[in-house]
Amino acid sequence: MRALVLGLIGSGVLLGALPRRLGARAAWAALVPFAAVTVWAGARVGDSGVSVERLSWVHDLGLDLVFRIDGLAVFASLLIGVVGLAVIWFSGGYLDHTSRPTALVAVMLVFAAAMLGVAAADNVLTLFVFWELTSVCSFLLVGHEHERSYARASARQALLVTGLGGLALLAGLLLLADATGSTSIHTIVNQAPTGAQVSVALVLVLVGALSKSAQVPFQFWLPGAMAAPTPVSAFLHSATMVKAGVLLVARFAPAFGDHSAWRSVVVPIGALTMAMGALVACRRHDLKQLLAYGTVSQLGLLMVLFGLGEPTVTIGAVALFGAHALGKAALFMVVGTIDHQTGTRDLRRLSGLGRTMPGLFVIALLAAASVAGVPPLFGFVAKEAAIAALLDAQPLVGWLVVAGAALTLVYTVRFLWGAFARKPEVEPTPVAHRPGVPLVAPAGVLAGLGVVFGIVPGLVETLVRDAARAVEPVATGTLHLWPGLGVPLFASVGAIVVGVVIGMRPLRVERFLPAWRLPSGEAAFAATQNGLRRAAGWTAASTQRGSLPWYVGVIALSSLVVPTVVLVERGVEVPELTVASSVAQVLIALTAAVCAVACAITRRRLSAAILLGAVGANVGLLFVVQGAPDLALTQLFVEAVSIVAFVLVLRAQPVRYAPARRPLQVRRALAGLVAGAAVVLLMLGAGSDARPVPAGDELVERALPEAGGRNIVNTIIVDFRGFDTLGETTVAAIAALGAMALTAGLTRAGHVRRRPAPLLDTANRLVVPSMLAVSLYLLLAGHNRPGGGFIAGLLAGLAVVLRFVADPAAPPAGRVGPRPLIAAGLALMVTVGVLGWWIDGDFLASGYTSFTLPVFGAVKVFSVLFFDIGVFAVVVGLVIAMLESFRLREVAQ
Amino acid sequence: MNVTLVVLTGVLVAVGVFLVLQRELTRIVLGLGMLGHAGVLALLVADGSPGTPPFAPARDVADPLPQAFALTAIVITFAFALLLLALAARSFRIHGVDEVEDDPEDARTLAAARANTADEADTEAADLISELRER
Repeated sequence: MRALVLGLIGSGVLLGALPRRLGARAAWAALVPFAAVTVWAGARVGDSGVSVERLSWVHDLGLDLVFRIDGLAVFASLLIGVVGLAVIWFSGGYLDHTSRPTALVAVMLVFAAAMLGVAAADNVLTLFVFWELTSVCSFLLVGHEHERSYARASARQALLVTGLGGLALLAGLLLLADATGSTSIHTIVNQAPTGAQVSVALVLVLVGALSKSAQVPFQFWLPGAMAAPTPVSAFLHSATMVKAGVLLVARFAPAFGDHSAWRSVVVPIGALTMAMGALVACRRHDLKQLLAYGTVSQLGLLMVLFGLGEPTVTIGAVALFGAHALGKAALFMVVGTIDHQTGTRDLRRLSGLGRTMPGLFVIALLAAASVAGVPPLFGFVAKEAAIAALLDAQPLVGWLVVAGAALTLVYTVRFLWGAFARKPEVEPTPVAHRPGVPLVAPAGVLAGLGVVFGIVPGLVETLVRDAARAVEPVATGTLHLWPGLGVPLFASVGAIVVGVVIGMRPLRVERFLPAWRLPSGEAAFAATQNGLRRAAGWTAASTQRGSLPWYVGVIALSSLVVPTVVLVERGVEVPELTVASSVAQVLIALTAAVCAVACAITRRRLSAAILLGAVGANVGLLFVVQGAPDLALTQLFVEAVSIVAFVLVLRAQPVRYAPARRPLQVRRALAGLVAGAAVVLLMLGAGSDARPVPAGDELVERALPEAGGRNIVNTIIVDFRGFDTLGETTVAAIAALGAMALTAGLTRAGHVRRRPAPLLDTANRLVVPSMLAVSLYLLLAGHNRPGGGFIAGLLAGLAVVLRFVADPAAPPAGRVGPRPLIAAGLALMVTVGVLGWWIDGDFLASGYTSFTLPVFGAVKVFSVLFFDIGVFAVVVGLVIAMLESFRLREVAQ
Repeated sequence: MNVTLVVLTGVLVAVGVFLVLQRELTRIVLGLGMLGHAGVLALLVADGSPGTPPFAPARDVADPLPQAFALTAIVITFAFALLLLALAARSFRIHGVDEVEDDPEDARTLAAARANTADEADTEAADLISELRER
């Protein structure tokens, strides 16, 4: 089962990947997996043992794929395999006018996998997953012709109805699992718990089953799903998917059939659906719609038969399940062939097809008669067994079913008349040419099976009995063609005679029947959908104003104000405050604040950028005061490079910003003030929690002995928190590549060669090499003295910037491109990490080696040095990437 | 806790938020840069009172851990600003204005919600299905 499910999905994926031009016949490749299913299931017929297969998924959540292969699973699998083979055979001939035929068949394969899962699932979550997967596949298949709006609408409706039913089912199953303490359906059914929770659970499970099997009031989706190509209707919407609900009811009914919540729902609804579906079918003119309502009616009958949970009825019910699947699939294919050959399915426009396509007529006659339960066909054998048992066990329901059988005959005759009869008032329908073998033979085979199993029911008796006993171990009864004279036979024959007599006058029946509609949930469904849509529209309209400043403002204020409110509510414990550590600090901070406010006020673009740089520089000075030389160096270098970047971008733009509306700016300023105040409060609040011991004290102790470095900040960056640095360097690398990608192709590099600025160029010959030498020193010494990869990289970058300023048209770093540099840097960092992993068992574990060089004496080389060199390369690459990105703009001007 | 630095952080955040709320892309970048400075300052406040630079072996050093955080934060902010500048440059080159327009998709949603056109489309589809079923 596991292999089959995975194999079907895999072959679906493969088939979907086939090139489109292979056409409809490529669909026949799908015969192989369906043959595998048939053989697998066929080989298990008569094997009364039960095997359990488990595919571990999220085991700790009780979420395993558990398949329990019992008689019913084998029976359903065999049906899926056989009907699937016929449908695929048919598809190869039928789909030649359909777009993307292989894609359609590919989804049918995935659907078959899901259906096998539903048939055999034992774990409640497994069942739910496969149950919803069938809904999703149905959605894709109904909406296959997505160019048509009604196909899309039908697909969505089918998905929402069955999908919501699936959610109800999940809730019900979980409640049942909770009541029994087991997620196994087999265990739940065996324990058959009772109580209020179980009643609720059963109703929920039934909502799932009834919606899937198109019972009142959920029936409306199934006729809508006829928008699907006919092979899909034949496979999903008559033989397999709509039977999932029946299968579920079959599994639960023996345990819960006596439960009032169960019985008061499933039998009345099934009976109502049976009757109303048949009556509506008598008024349809589209043959496919007629069949769809017929299916709704037959599913109602199956619901009644299984839902009762009567041991004696089960065998007949299982047989009827099979007979209906075989016959209905054949009938859908017949309609497909008629549609394919004549271009219409409207029985008011079809006439004389019985004469022009006699073979198809015989097939349709046999299939329809089997579905309607006419001897000597399989449907008769099945229905007879069911009616006999039912009249015995539940006479009232039994006679109801007999009446239903008569109604079935009425619309069945109407179908045959509508499709094949010669109607005096209608011109004989022209048939282009005789239908090919793939259009006729598959339906013929399924109809033929109905004949064979009808005459020799012994062929399937074991299969049916094992399936029935899987859910009802005490199921009794046999399948006979000749049941013997008695009430059941008379009842059946009477129903057939009455049905045929009435059915022979289809037009009068149609006129006589009032325009009843089934009590339908569709209005409620549509109202809910429209209400949701309106609510969503209203919500979107009141929150999505389309203005970026509005969104940013909401985000900024809520992310700052909400925690602040919580903080104030809990009470801020004001920490020990000092005004400042030194006068210098106050002066620097004051300068920074003034520059910041000026940056906000100025309307000149460049001034604003320079003022931002001034703020940064002052922050750098604060680092100096603080005793953080590494930070100060980094900050100052970054500000220098940033200014260049801003200048390169801003000079293409107008000098001044356009004035903004005053009230708007006032509001923005207020938002800023609130945010600033919130941050001050938050920081004071955070400070009240200050730990007496600085976080880094431990690192101060460990730096020299463990990381072999005196510069503690650097040891933290390259060693203690090396993984962090690797991540952050990667972010920088991505930003650099992103900037280059964003600006690539904006201008064509038509090189306007200008002479380099003479003075600067000459100075650079001296300055640039010195800067590079200092940078090298900072890089190598960084582990012990101020410096390190970041700082050295920024300084080297500044050297490149100087070269660029002197000669903007030349490549800023000669032949060194930013991409290789960044790639090499990251690769080096990862290599150091992996080596540490390999040697020391930890990613980024550091080590060192020492040796003696002639001039330098004893040298210690740390692996983290190479890590730092990687950082260096990425940072240099980042600066070059910046120049490359914005240089192109220079060339264009 | 150092009041001067805390207040300066507040000022930088206020200016940063004000700038980020503007329509001009380059001002938004400036605002984010300002918020970056504020973030680094906040780390500096967490660093506690000043000390000697953290080089081993030493006593009374400034807390090195927030410094390491701040160092990488500076570089990240820089890289981020570059990316945004590239975005601004691209937008200006293509549209000729340095402004963020209102999102057209949101505007459509707004208009559709006001006109209830979504409803109409849905009703139409529902009619189509029921027509299909009544055949």
